[in-house]
Amino acid sequence: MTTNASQGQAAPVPMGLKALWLREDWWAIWIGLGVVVVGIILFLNGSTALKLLAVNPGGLKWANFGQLADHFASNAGRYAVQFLVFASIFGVTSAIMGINLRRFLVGFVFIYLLSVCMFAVGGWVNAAKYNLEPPLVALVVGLVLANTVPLSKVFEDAFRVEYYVKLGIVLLGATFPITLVATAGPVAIGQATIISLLTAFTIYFLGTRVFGIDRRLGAVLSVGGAVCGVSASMAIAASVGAKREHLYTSVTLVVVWALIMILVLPFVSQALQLPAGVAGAWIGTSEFADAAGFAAASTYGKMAGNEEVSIRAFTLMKVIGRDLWIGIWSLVWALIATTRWEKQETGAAPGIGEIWRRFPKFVIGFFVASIIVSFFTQGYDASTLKKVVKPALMDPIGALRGWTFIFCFLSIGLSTRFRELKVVSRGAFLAFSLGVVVNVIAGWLLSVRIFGDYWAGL
Amino acid sequence: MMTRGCCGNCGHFAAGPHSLESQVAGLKILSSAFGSIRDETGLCRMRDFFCMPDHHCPDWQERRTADTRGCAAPGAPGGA
Repeated sequence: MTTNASQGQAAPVPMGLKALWLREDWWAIWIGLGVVVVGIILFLNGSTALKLLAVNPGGLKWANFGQLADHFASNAGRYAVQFLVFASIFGVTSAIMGINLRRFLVGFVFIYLLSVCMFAVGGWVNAAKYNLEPPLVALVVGLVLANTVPLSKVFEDAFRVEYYVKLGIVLLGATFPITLVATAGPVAIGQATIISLLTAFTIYFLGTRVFGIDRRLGAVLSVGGAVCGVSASMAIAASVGAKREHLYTSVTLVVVWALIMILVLPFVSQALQLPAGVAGAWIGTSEFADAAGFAAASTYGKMAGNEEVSIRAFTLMKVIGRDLWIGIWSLVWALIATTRWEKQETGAAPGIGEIWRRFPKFVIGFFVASIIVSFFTQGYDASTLKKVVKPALMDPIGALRGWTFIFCFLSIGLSTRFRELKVVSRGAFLAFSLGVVVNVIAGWLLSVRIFGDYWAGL
Repeated sequence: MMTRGCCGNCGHFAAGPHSLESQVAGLKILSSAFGSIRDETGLCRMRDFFCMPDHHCPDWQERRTADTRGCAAPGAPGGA
């Protein structure tokens, strides 16, 4: 292997500080923490601006269209301001990252109006009776539109699944006590470690030893199934010198299985009558991508009448537990590729810095938001916290998080055009699918049988 | 600084987020080329595989300026 250092060449300049304004992870942190800090300032000054901004029709329980129309008529100004705030923040930051502002705004109008409809459906008095949970409805409506209606390409710049979910996760931190992270984190990391290793080895060894797929493909699929889907696959693609078709294969398998699990896991959890926390942990152990997992966990949480606990358990398992493995796997596969596989003529020596470079930075925002709000609220007694602080500060932040998640779920559906997905080889399909089976069964055992009492009491 | 021979300043290297998302259809359904996990991973259009800016190979080709072929420094918005 030759490296730049060995040739006496200077190393390329890394992106460095530019990442602070060119990567959506950092924007999710700036915006999320900005909302938290501004929210606290407004609260301390007795302002209800945040509450006014966080309007949505999801909690209306309307029984006829007249009630719904009355709600929009009396809150038209709030919705107009809300749209302007969302459009300005997402539009400007996306433009700074290099996305065409005009195209983004056109697409965002579409996303926002659809989101209002999704919340309105969820606010119907009979919505729960027919399982019309907004996350699920958003996903299905998006899928149907993307695959049956010739949507203009102009809209696509606003379908930023990851950006929306990352901001949602940072906002989630504001309603997530840091003490819970401290007490539940070790269990989540332990469970995630078991799952990550088991699933990765299953996919890799079945793929390469039984089904004879390329070991680079095996590596890309193994982390895709074990950690966080396509993002993890992409993270190690350069480590192992994966071909473009390998990533295509990961995209297809992850998307198809993630969608299947969004649609199946909530209903299986319902059939098994799992407590919200247990189901959230199971979904966090079994889903691949954060966005898909939040859709499933949020859907089941609404079905079980305890969305907050379902989302908390999912977050602990997936975001805090499994996502943190990305950098480690990237380093491990880079070491394997450069020391155990054939000499890579394009390789550079992997280093421990790989773990930080691949770290999902938005998670930092989640922790900081949690610490800020936990610190701020510790001075209030339980009664004041419940009657004053929560309704004026935490609930509005939670409602804004709900908006970003709906933008995300709609974007998943609207971005998924099945005809564009690549046909994958039989070996890759079987290896990944068997990994999914192992993942789901092991996830169920850990979440229900072994740590069930723990997750149920979350 | 990037020097001759590094993928980061090679004409075959595509690391701009728009470029990656357009070259790997479906990438942005559940992921993003604008995320930090990707770091500066790019696609070698000659060998059709993924690599990093500090990698290098014998097929290095001088990159033309952004004005002539739409390339930009790795990671820059809209860069090729």
